[in-house]
Amino acid sequence: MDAEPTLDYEIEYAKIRERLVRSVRHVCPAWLRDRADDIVQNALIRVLEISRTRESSNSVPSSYLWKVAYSATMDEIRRLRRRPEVSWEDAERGGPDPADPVDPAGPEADMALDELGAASEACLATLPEARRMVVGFHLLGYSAGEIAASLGWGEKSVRNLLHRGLVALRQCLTGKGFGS
Amino acid sequence: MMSGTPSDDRLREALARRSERAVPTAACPEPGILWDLAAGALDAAKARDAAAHAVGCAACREALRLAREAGATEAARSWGTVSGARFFSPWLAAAAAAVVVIGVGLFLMIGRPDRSQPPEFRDEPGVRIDAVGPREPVKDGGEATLAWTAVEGARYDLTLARENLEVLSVVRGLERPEYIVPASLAARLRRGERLLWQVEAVFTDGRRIRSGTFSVRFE
Repeated sequence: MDAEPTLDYEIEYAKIRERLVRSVRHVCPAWLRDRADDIVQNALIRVLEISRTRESSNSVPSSYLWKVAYSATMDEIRRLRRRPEVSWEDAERGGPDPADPVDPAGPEADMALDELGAASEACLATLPEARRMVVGFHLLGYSAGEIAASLGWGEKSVRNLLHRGLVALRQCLTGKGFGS
Repeated sequence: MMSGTPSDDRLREALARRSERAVPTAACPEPGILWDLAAGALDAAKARDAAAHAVGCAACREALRLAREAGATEAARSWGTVSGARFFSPWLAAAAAAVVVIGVGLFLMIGRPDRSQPPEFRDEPGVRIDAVGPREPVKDGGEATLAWTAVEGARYDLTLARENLEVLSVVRGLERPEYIVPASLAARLRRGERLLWQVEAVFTDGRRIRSGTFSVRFE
């Protein structure tokens, strides 16, 4: 019979690859999204190379695999960010830098978003540390429960800090001319 | 929210834009630290240090968003152990190398996974899913019926993948412990290639039992 229950990790790698590619496509800017397959594939090849040293292991925590794969993917992204590559075609025609995606809403909307981003960063920096961390996580999409787990704080405290932090952030933004 | 001030989504968009051109610095924590931070796996002092840097660093913010997207925050809840005779096999390395050669295009053929299904691997003492068939390689043009031992009270999710780890299909909610591989799917395999398959028994209360990974060769 050609059925061998010995290859669990292969399916695990397939799941990791799928999810990481999807995540990179969703999170990263266009010039990295377009390379999501390559980024994750290169990362997983490195993970496989690293895993040679664990050949004698009988079992591996799946969380370890995911963490290593994520780390390798981030290393790959960081490497690309430090050495941004411009396509030959773009270079020849003097086209846009791949790090500068075109905003379909136009350059004014583009600039407004840039200004809001800069102001948000500046306002975040003025918040007390605990509020800054909680608001920062919130603006990355983390739920209160996830923030509490990440920072090791109580969820109720996180909600309180978040409320106060967002109020202060918006006051600051208003002072900079964003909103009434 | 104050009237007229930007919504949270607008602020997220603006901050994400700051990350687009961000280049990491020597002060940025290693990715593994950021993963652990997202997963709640750091002690309080380390979490505070890493978070204090990360929320103010455009490059690390992107990394933290990616960690969450990739499932770090789910890790704390449900992940277990990947079992296997060996973690690494030369065969797997060869398969992985093949993926590089095959290139980017193949991934577009992968079926879309369900975002609501985080990876979770739970053991159920005394319950085991074994392959029942096919017992022979599938001949050219032949029909392959994947069959496994039944688990009472469960339905089955089935993952089908190529040797190069490309997931070909995920079939959910099977009522019977068998599945006939569609000819259209079999046609995507090269002659002599193995189809990897794995079953998860899904109970009505959400518990899951995962089988080993089985293979069948298509000749």
